[in-house]
Formats: sequence, C-alpha cells, structure tokens
Amino acid sequence: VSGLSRRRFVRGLGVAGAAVLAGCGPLPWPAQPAAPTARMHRLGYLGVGALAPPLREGLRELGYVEGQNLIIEARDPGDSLDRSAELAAELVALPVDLILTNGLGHLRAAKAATGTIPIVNAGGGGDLVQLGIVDSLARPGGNVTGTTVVADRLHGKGLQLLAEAAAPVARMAVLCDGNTMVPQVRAYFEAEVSALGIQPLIVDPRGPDALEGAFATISEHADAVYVVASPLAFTHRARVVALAAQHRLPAMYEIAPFVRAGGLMAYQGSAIEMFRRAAYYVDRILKGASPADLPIEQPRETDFVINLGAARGIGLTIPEQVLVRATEVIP
Amino acid sequence: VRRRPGGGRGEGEGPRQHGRLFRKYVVAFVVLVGGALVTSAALEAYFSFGENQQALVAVQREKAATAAVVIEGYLRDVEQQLRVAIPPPLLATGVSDERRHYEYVLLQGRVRSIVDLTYVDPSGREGVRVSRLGRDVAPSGADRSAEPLFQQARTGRTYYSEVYFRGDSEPYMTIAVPEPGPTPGVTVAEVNLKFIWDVISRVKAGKAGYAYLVDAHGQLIAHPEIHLVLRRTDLADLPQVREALGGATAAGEERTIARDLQGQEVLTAHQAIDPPGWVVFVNQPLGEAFEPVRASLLRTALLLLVGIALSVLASLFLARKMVTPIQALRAGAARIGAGALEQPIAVHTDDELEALADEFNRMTARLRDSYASLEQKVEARTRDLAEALGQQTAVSDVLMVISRSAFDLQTVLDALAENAARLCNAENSAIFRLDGEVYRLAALYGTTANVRPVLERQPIRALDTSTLVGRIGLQRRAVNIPDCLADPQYTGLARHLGIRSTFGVPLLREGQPIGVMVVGRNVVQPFSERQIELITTFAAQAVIAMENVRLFQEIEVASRHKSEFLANMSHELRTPLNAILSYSQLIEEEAADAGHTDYLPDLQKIRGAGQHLLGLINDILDLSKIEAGKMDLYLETFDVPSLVRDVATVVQPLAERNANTLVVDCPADLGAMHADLTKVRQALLNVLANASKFTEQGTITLTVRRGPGPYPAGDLTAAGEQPVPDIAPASDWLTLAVADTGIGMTPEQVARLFQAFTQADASTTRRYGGTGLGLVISRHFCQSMGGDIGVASEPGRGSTFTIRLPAIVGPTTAAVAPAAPVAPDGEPTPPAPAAGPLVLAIDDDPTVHDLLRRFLQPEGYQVVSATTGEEGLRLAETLAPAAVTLDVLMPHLDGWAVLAALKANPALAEIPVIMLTIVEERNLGYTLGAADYLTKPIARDRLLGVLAKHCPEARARAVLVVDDDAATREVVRRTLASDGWTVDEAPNGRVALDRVAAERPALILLDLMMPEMDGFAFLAALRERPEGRAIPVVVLTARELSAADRQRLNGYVSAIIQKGAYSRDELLAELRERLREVVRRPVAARSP
Repeated sequence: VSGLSRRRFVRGLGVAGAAVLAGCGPLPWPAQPAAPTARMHRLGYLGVGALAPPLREGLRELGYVEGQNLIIEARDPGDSLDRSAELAAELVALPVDLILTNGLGHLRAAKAATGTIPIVNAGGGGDLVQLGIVDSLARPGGNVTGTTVVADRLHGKGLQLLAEAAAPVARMAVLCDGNTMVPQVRAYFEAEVSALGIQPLIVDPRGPDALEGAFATISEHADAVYVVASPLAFTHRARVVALAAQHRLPAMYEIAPFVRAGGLMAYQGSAIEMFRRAAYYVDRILKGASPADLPIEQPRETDFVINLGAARGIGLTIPEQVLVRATEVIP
Repeated sequence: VRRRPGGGRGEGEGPRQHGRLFRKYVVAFVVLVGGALVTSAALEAYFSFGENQQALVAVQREKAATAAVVIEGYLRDVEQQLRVAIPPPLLATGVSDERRHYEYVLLQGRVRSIVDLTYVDPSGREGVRVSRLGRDVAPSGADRSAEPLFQQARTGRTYYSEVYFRGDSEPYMTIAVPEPGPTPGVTVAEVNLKFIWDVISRVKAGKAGYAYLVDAHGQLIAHPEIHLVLRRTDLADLPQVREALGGATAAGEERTIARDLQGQEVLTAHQAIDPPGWVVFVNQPLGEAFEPVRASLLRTALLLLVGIALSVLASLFLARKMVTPIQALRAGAARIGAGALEQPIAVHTDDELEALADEFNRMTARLRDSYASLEQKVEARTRDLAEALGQQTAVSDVLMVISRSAFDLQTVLDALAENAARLCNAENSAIFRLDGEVYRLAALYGTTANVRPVLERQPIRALDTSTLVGRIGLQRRAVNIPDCLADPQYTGLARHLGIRSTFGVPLLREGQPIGVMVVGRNVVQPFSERQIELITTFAAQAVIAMENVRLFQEIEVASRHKSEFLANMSHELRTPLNAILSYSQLIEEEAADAGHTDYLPDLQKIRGAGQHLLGLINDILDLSKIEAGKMDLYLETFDVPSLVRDVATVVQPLAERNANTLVVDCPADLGAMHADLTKVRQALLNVLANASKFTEQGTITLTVRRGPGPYPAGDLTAAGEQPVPDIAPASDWLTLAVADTGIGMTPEQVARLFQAFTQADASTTRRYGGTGLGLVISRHFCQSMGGDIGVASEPGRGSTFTIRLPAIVGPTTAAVAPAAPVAPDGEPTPPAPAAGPLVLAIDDDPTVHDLLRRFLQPEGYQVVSATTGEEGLRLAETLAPAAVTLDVLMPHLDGWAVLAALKANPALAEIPVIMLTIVEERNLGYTLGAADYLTKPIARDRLLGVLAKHCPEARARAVLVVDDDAATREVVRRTLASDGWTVDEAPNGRVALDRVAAERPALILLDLMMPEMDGFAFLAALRERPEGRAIPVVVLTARELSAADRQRLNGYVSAIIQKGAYSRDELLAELRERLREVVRRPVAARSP
C-alpha cells in the first residue's frame, strides 16, 4: 500500500466515522431543554372581574407564563349580557386561540359568537346538557368544554342549609336576574323550595335600580333569601349584601365572593378546584385536543362558607348541625 | 514493457506479494482487535439490554405498586372511616336519627370524597340519608335487605360496588360496611373516585408513560384520558389485562411488553388491588422506555467504531512496521537476483529481520567477491577470444582476398603482408620469393617501404646467414631474432631500419623453400606462440596462392594451346575441303554447261563425300566443344517464321529427294524469339533432315507453336516421349514439332537415340549415312538454351521430334555457356551494326516525322527530324545526311528558301533533296535543284524507291574479299559477281589495307587466319583509320571462334559467317543475305 492510498484510507475512515455519528440522529446526551411551547398563545377571557388566581396558577404550573408564551385578553362585560355578546364577538375577531368563560351567561355569549374557537368554561355553569350547550358531559361534541356544576342538587342543598340555618322559615325568596333568567329557572326554584315544605318567592329585579324594591318585597314577604349568582347580583354584590343585612335577612349566596363581600353564607362547588381544572383543559386544547372529546367535569369538593360576623350582624345564631358542614368559617 | 520469459513472472509478482503480506497482516490485526471489540460490545449490549429492561419493568412495577398502595390505602381509609362513622360507645346505647345524621355530616367533613351516606338498619330498612350535593331527605324506610350490598355487609365484609358514573362524568362507587355489633346496620357510602383518577393521572413513567386502572372485569375505571374512562372502555381483551385478572401467571412469565389500547408497543407492569379486585397498570411506550438503552447501544456502537478505526490504524501502522523491512529484504533480494550487489540491504529493526538482512548483506559481499574474480576471468577470456577472433577475421579476410584475387598474386601477397604486420603488432613485414640463388622482394608493408628500391636492386642471397631471410631459407624453419642489435651475427637491413625484434618463416613447397615471410618490430618484444602460428598460417596461404597462380598459368597455357590447335585444325581441314567442294560444284556446273555429263556422277560423288567429311568435321568439333564445356551461346533476336521459312527452303530439296511432302504449319504472327540463331537453326535442320532421311514417300510435318509453359497448347507429346529434364517453367515457349511417317523406332532405339555416335542401329548408319552425332549435338544446343528435344515414336508409324525452347533465352538459362561474352548488362553483345544512311526530314508536322521514321527505319535508314527550316539547315550542315526530305509550307523559312540555301552551300549541294509536300510546284522544285518531287500523301514504296535511287550507298556495291586462300577468294568473287557486286581481293590484311586506302569498298569480307597480317590485326588497323571506321566488315572464317576471339571482334564487325556450318549454296545464300543486311545497315537492331 503506497503512502498516498494509506492516507486516503485513514481520511476515509474519519469521514465514515463522522457519517456514522451524523446518522445516529439524536445524540445520547440531552440537547438544550426546549420550552413546552415556543409559540405565543392568545387566550380570551370573558367574565366578570379578572382571571381567577387558581386558573393563572394552574396555567403557570403547566408552563404557560403570561408575557412569555401567553397573552390573556380579558374582557369584563359587567352585568350586561349585551356587552358580553359584544365582547365575545370582539375576542372572536382578534382572534384568540381559546376563550375562557366564567358562568353560564358568558358561556352562552361566547358560544353564540363562535362555533369553532374552543371555549373552556371555568367555574359553574349549570346543567349544560339540559341547557342544550353540550351533547353530554362525557362527550361534549362541540367547541365547548370545561367545568360546570350541575347545579340542581347543589342549589337544593344551599336552600336546605339556608332553611336549617334560618329556621323556622315559612317563605323563602330566591333573588334571580330578570334579564337573564330563563323560565325553567323559576320553575326549578319554585319546585326546590316547595320540596322543603316552604313557600317559594321568586324575585327577579330587572336592573340594579330594582334591587332596593326587590329586597323590600323580600323583607316584607319572606324569612330568608337565596341569591343566585347572576351577573346583576354579582356585579352589585356589595349592595346586595348590604341590602340583605339592612333588611336582616338570612341569606344564602350561590357563590363565595358574596360572603367575602360581607354576605352570610355561600354553598358552592369548589371554585378553586374548577378554576384549576380549567387550566388542564386549556393545556389539552392548546396541544391539539378537540374540546368535543374532553369530558366536562364537575367539582368533587363543595365549599360552604359562613360569615359569623354577618350572622351576628343580623342576630342570627347558626345551628350546630349547619355549622359542622362549613368548610370555611369567617369570624 | 518487455517481459523476460520466466524472469518476468517473478518481477511482476514482487509488489503484489508485498501487498498481499501487508493485507494479510492488516486483516489479521483488524480481525483480532475488531473481533474482540465487537464481541465485547455485543455481549455488553445484550446484557445491558436485558438488565435495562428488567430495571425499567421493576421501576414501573414499583410505580404501579405505589399507586396501588395509595389507592388501596385510600379505600381502606374510607372503609375504616365508614366503620367508625358512629362512635362505638354510641352504638351500644342506641343512636337517634338526628345523632346519626349529625355523625354522618361529620364523617362527610372528614372524608370529603364521601358524597352521600345512607343508613340501612339491621332489618334492611333504609334510614338516615345525608348528601353533600343535594337535600338530605328523611328516612324513606325502603327495604334494601335484598340488595347485595346489604347481604354482603351483613356478613361483615365490606361491599364494593362496580364503578358507576353520575351525570355521565363523575366516577362513583358504593361502599357498604356493617356497623360493629351483633345485629349490625349497614352504612352505605357513595364515594367520589376522582381521587383515584388523580392518583392514576399523577403516575408518570418517563415522559409518555402513564398508569391506568381496571376493575375486576377489565373495565377501565381510571386513565389519564378521562374520556376513555367515561366511554366505559373495556380492556378485558388486552392480553396483559386478561393475564393480570386471571392472576394465574407466575411472576417469571409476566408479560412486560405488550400493546396498549392504541396498538402501541409498551412496556407494562401491573399491581393488583384486592379488594375490590382492581389492577393498576403502568405503561411506558417501548420507544421511550428503551431510549436510554438505545442511547447506550449507540454509545457502544460509536465506541466500537472508534475502536475499530483505531485498530485499523494500529493495524496499518503495525503491518507497515512489519512489512517495510520485509519489503526492503525482498527488494534487496530482487537486486541481488538482478545482479546489483553494491547496495546493501538497510533494515534496522534490531530483531531477526535485521539479522536476516545482515546475512543477505554478507552473502552479497561473498557474491560480489566471486563475481569480481569471475569477471576478471571472463575479461581475460574475452580478451583472448577477441584476439583469436581478430586473427580469425584477419585470416578469413586474407582468404577472401586470396579467393577473390586468385590470379592476382601481388594483391594476395600485399594483403598477407599487411595483415601479418597488423596482427603481430609489428610495424613491418615483407615476403620474398626465391629466384634462383637470390630472394627477391615480393611484397612489403610498413615503415620500411622506402627500402623497396634498395631491396629490388640488391636481392638477398639465399645462403647469407647474416640476414634473416638467408637464415630462414637455409634452416627451412621459423627463425626468431629477439633483438637484432643483440645478435652479433646479424647484419641485415633491419638494423639500419630501426627494427629490433624480427621473425620469419619459410614458404615451403614440397619441403623446398620458394620464399620467406618476415615481420619486424621497432621495439624489443618477443613474438607470441599465437603470432608465430599466425605467420606460419599466412606463409602457408602465400604458398598456396603462389601455387594457384602457377598452376592456373600452366592450365591457361595448356588450354590456349588446345584452343589454338582446334581452331587451326578446323581451319586447316575446312579450308581445303571448302575448296574441294566449291571447285567440284563449279566443275559440275561447267561440265553440265559443256555437256560433259559423263563426269557428272563422279563429280557429285566427290562433292558428296567432301560434304560428308565436312559435316563429320563440324560435328566432331561441336561435340568436342560441348564436352569441353566451351559451347558458347550468341543470343540475338530474330523472327521465328523467317527462320522456319529459311530452314524449310533448305530442307525442301532433301525432302523431295525421298519423295516426301514437307508441310510447314507456322503461323505468320508467331513473332520473334531471342536465342542463339545458329544453334536453333542447326537443331531444326538436323531434326528435319533426319525426318527426310528416314522417311520415303511420306509426309513430314513441321508444326510451330507458341504458348505458355514447357508444354504449350496443341500438345505435341506422345506416348514414350522422353521426359524433359530440368526445364524451368516460363510463360513464353516455342514448340517446333517435326512429325514424319517414316520407319519409326522401338523404345530401345529411342533410349539409345541421344547417345553419341549411335543411330537406331548400326545398319541404319550404313543405310542412311550420317555421323549419328546430329541429334546429340542438337539436344545439347537446345538444353543449353533452357529447352530440350523430345521424341515419341512407334515402329512403322513414324516419329515425332519436338524441340521446345523458351522464346526468350536469358543468360541464366544458358547454363552451358559460362564463358559466353557477357556484356555488363548481362546480355550477349552482337556485332555492332554500322549507322545506316541518314535521312534528314524537314517538316513542321510531327506526324510526318513519325511516318517517315516508320517507313524508313525498317529499311535501314536513320531518320533525323527538324521542325523548322533553320533547324534543318543547321542539322544538314552538322550531320551531312545521305538525303533530305523537305516540306514547302513551313513557318519562317519555307521549303523553297531552305532548298535554295542547301544548294547555295557547296558542302551541302551534293545532298539529294526530295521535296515532300502538298504544293504542286514541281517545276519550281526541279528548277531550284530538288532531286525528286513527291506529293503528299506519302506512298511508302514510292518514297523508298526514290530514296534508293538517290542514296549513294545503294550505288556502290564494291566488296573487298580478304582471304589468304585463293580458292575461297575465287569462289566468293564468282558468287558475288554473279549477284552484281564489284569484287576486289586481298590475300592478307596488309594488302587489304592498301586496297581500302586506294578505293573505299562498301563492304569487306574478311578471313581471320592469314599470314603477315591476320584478320584481327587488320580490323584493329582499319578502325584506326578515319576512312575505315564506317566500312562494314563481315567475317567469313573457317576458324572456330572462341569467346576471346568474339570479344576481340566485338564492335568491329557487322556479321560473322562461319564456313564450316554451311554448304556452298548455303554459304553463298547466307553471304548474300548478310551483305544485303549490311548494306541496308539495319538500325532497328540494338545499338552497342
């Protein structure tokens, strides 16, 4: 073998080695860690107030950081459903990758605005199957998924606990929102309250100005009030709570924020759980899952928040068997 | 590249062998190291794969176990809490519904996944119900005693229901536990199993690995993909699930690789939770699970590659390390094999190879030494050989000189002397010949050349011992004088010439010295044995050369004497015979004229006997010449039909004598042949004469044909013909066949036919006459020309003699004529014809020139052409033509002007001018002096007639007969005179010269053998004279002409007629013909 061919042979060996290395594909040692999603995601949020902290936390845990790979377009329609529809259309026009909603009214507005952009409901929404928003909870079939509370039994529980706490109660008022209430809701509440052996009184003020009158009516005819977390009530929860206190009405609210605003009691599906769980849906959908295939989940936990201060304010002593159910007691 | 046979193979294989060894080493190393590497890597990979898989499965199983423990713990906790839902002290005293309700609410607070609690009392009636999600309802009292949960719980065992889903999406299970006590009630709890989902979802195996949970029926109850659970997925068909639920599989047979629901290959492990008979599976996609294994394998493969690469490099290095010295050894061995011994083999490996190289070098050294001595020997031998070869060459050169110059003794001796000196490294050499009492110088070479006059003047005395030559002659053996100056007795010339060492040998013939050969050196240096031997050889050669010359001279003299004798004999015999014959014929004619018819028969007998005698003499002469090998061929070109016609004319009377008819079949266009005319004629005459003699009242047919090959078409051969020997095939042959209807011959007679002095039998000789030599001679003639005579005969039917001759007899075919006068161009030279009368044709038309040449040249004229009048005048002046033909119409100078100019010049005025023109101005022509006037077109006969009329030669027919024999002169004179010639006579050459001076004859008939001045001398003298040069001479002689004679006559005479070959009639006919030819001066013949 001449010198030349020997050199050529050695050089060939080197080239072959490099080729083998190149052909090995992924190197045995790790490459630089890649971000979960390099892409910027744009989320729309349609609901009263800001995005709930548990949801943000959940998203962060799944690797979504606002400003880095996540933009949240938050839209607060307040108590106006018209406004909600407008803002939903606005989000759709942006467009956004996904719309988060909080509550049935906003969910419906979003659903009306788009049939293609995935909508994830965070928080309660009622019996979405019965409301015709999804096919079934196990298999929603459309662009809507997320969490909900199939509220029939939970409302019933809240009504029962109110009755127990404020006993004796002869007539119980249910404060709904005249603008958003569907006829089934009135019937539902009338049936539920009646089942407790109590006269129902459905009050549906149309606008915040009617709240005064509504509470006057309630105070005049009923012993306790169950406040449905309508946009109207939620928006004006401070006034609602104040009116209830003013009229010394034992009140059960649908959701905890009322209690934190000074209300007496609230019984709800675990909001934290639902918000956190919503992050899971966001993640799955952003990674390509179809909302039609993601089962709608309900909270496993329930929150029963009692504001003892409010109770004292109206001179109410919460009975023992009610108090033991509380998950949170505000002194 | 030239490959040496045998050797080439070895050389060609050299590099390849090296390559093979190198490859072998490399392959061996690579196989060794690479094999070890590959084996270890393969083993490692195999085991690490197995171990990895086991480890992975173990990890997964661990995870499954952990999940199972958590789930089981959860279930047990729930179960335990349910069992203590009512504090045992309370149970003993009985529990109110309110209290139970209260306790249940507390339990719900403790265990948050318990959503509903129902109490079934010992009798199976439904009691208190507490719900977290709905209203608590009052005890319904419904009978649930038949339900499995009650039945089972009553036995003390916890009841677990199937998993069910509330609102399509919430997993629930019913757990029923009995209260402690002898007649226990049963606490029924609806438990939300989302906690289990969380547990299962949280189990991670790698990135894509996951856990799932199936119930005892294989129904999926927990899975990270909740929808799979909600769709009530049944996994009982998966083998691993079936096996796990079957629970019969031994741990060793546990399935670790399976396909999941999607058909993906996964690594799977499971753990059972019993009760309620669930199984936790942990799956990890195989690809991911084995990712580390693959990585490790890849690493191993890479390391292996690197290892192999390194081993290849190491192998190359090592093999090179090993092969290089071997190659050096091989190259060295090859060098030694090729004979290059100077360069040692350089191997410095400090091992056996170096020792081997050293051995090689030692061997090379030994070889070099022996080669050196061998080379010296070879060199010495080569020197000897070269010297010997030089001497051999010299000897052969000398021999060549001797053979080439066999009769030029001086050249031979000079060559011997020169070579002797040169080969002995001597400056001088000399050869002396003994002449009576003295040695005379014969050859001299060298620096002593200036002593030649001295030696020639003073020959060395034979018995003078003071000289080397004298000593040698005296001692008759080689004598060596190592140093002349040291020899007190030596007083020879050499001392004065500076010669120191000298040496000589005698030239001995039959023991007697005939000469001496000496060599001398100017320095003192003894002569070697070889040189002495050489000089002795040269001396012998010199003797041989001298003897050769002496013998040759003796033979030459003898031969000359014999030839002279034969020539003289024939002359002396034939001259009187010719006279007898001529006179007897004259007498016959005169007797017939005078009416003395009585004498005629006697006279005829005299003439017949004379002619027979003449024939005998001629034949014997011919035969003697043939036997002496002196038969010469005189080749010339002649017309065959003419020859045949001529011969037929001669034979006709003979044939008629026996009343035979002679039929000649000879095509007129047979053309010419180139042969010895006389001999062809003689052979043909002989055959025809024989046929005429042996046939009576028959037919003699002569058939002449020309054709290719020795056996031309129209085959004339017949049975019994003698084979024709040694006839070279030629393309052009002549066959002359003579067939007769005579007596014929038997085969025996035919066999004897060509033997000398034999006829068919003795009686025939008597009966038919003849010498019996004719056929023998004829055959000889034919054979000498490359042909032959064949015969076919049948007794009583006649014979056919066939003469076959090549049409062109070349000198090579003239095998029997070695001494023929051969000109340098290899052809016999005929007598030179003198120039014919010159006709100057002046005409501007070249076709006229051509035409004239064609008309006139065959008639013996020379034609010179001039295309203009000026040229014609010039040529007429320089050539002095015999006649001029002149055209009239020519550019520049026309015919009339030329004619006038010619006639105005006194030197040219006598030349006859024949006008040859289309201009019809006859009178003008004659007025101007034209000899004749012809108009174009030119008529050949008319032109020839006119020319013959005007050419002077045609008028002068004076013949000078030069012969010492008066009878011959008389006969010739009479014969020619009767033909209209003017005959002058001269008895010898001297008189003839006077006669020529007195009156220039047109022709001279010359005998050669005459007293006072013979024919040769006469010719020489005649040609010396200006007026004699142009006179044609015809030699008429009875002398047998030798080649030397003909050489002497060559160029001087026009024709030679030999008296002996002809009868008087024939002679005269021949003479007339030749005279006619000579006067015509044939120029068509080849010029000399």
